[in-house]
Amino acid sequence: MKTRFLLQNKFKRPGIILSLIGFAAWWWGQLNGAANIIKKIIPAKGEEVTYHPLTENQSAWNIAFLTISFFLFLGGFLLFIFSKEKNEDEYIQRVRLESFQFAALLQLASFVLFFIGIALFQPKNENSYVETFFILTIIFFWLLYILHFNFALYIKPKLTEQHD
Amino acid sequence: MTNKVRQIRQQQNLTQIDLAEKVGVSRQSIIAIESGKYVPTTLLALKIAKALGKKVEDVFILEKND
Repeated sequence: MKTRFLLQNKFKRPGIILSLIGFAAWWWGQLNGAANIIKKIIPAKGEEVTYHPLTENQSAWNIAFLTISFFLFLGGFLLFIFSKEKNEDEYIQRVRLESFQFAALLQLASFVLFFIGIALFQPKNENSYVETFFILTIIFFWLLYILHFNFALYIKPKLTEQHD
Repeated sequence: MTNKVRQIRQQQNLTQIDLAEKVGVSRQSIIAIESGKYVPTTLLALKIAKALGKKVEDVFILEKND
């Protein structure tokens, strides 16, 4: 079975590396890393880049850095996900489809539960909860997909001892 | 549908990797087919039968409720 929607297997490794770099950079950005560096290079910008975590007053430098690193992480993640296995065959494509279905169903369930939770508890800062949920749900979907795909393809056969 | 892939493969002293390489599929596919979790397409069934030197109906057997 041929597919037009998957990249060659050689994109898998760069995808993993990019996503790891992106995630590490994003984490560093969360600690205000980029702003602190800018502060040292351009002291005049000191006040501009000062981070006040309690007021969520992040500098534009840090927000830009966080955005770029997050999309670097997401891009690498997608490269990894949309790369073929070394020997992509019809069975692997079926497992891939099942993993998409699994991730989509659980994501749908998470949406329903989240909005029921919001309706029941009616938190004061509802918008920030919704915003955070939408960001997390992007990653949640792909994480579920990766977990299901790799479990079904590599771990489950070992657990059930169907290999020799 | 049942199949005799494992039985015939073992008679011929082939490992799952050997058969997968002969057929040009992943080892995971062979594992899934042997355990009955995956019913291959006609094309793959024909390829497996050919790799084992058997007729497809000798390797893959229809059951009453199929």
